[in-house]
Amino acid sequence: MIKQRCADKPTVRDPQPAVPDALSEVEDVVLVRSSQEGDLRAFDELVRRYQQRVYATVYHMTSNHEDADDLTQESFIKAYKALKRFKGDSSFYTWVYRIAVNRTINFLKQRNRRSFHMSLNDMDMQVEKDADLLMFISDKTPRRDVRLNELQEKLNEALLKLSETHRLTVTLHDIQGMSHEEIGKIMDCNTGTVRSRLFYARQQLQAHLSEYLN
Amino acid sequence: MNDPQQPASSRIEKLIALKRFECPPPGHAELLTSKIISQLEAEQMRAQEPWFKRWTHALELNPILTTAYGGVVMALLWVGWHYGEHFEAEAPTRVIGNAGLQMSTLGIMGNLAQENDPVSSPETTLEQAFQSVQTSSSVQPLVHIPGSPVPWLRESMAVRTLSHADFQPY
Repeated sequence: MIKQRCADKPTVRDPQPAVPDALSEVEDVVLVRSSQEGDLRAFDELVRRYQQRVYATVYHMTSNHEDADDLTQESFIKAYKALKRFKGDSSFYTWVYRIAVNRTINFLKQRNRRSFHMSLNDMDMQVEKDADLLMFISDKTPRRDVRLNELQEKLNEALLKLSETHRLTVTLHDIQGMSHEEIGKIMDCNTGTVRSRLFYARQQLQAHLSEYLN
Repeated sequence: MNDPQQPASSRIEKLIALKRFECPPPGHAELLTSKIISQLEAEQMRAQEPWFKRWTHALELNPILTTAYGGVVMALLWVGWHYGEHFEAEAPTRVIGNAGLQMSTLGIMGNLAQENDPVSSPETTLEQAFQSVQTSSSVQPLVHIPGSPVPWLRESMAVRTLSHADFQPY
């Protein structure tokens, strides 16, 4: 359901509001080095920078706020403990993303064996201004909110029908807006594989959501 | 309505974009950051505690570990009890002292020797040979049991037959 409270706060895609702190200007490399020496304030800044994006990815993978919350928390704690082994070959962002993605995939494999209830999520008020999205909903109906909510539910169900790797590719590319190269680094595969996964994932989604596309 | 001229892949991309508008619960970002940092701080503080506190904390948090420790303690107690019983049962055959004689059975053996073997009657010269035994116990010294009626005593005891060399006068 679309609620007013979403309008005055950032969506899962928006960047974190700027922290009035000197650390907010410091580069990741410096913060990582300080964190490796046990400086929790530096790590706090790194968490502030990336937790929203990591959370959003995990959330779109699990379609559940509580699970996304727990997995993001676990991923950052694991990252801090493993920080001494971080050599800096990739950026901290890619590295922490990889931890979160692996944890989420393991979690989803375990969850598939149990029954799962998807949580319905509140939407940002801005959605009503998105012309691209509104074209999927009949503008003649007075119950547009209901239609939008239904569409969101169907979309989540369709995403959950995809395999973990396909869902992750769609999440990172179509929802998070990452490039094929970035996704390749996170998923530890080449860009060709990313493209092919994206193609098959979209084909499957098209089949599941045909009533909205035709 | 949907534009039929638009490619399906483009339409599906736009539809998936709906997910971008899903937002977390209010105040979520700050709460999550503080949760992560407070958990890390708690772990750092725990690492500075003495080992037994950390150990008890680990036991509190992990029921499997607690059960495993309980099992190990119970097993050790059982082993201790079992071997304690066994040890008590075997205590008479223990070898005590430099002479290699048995403390608890020495008196019995001495008596048996006296009764069954006329050669091994206690004499004053023999008492000198077993002086060390006499100082540590009040039992009679055993010299030789050639025909002891108790076989396990014959086998398990270090019985030494005295020769003439043992009875050298001063």
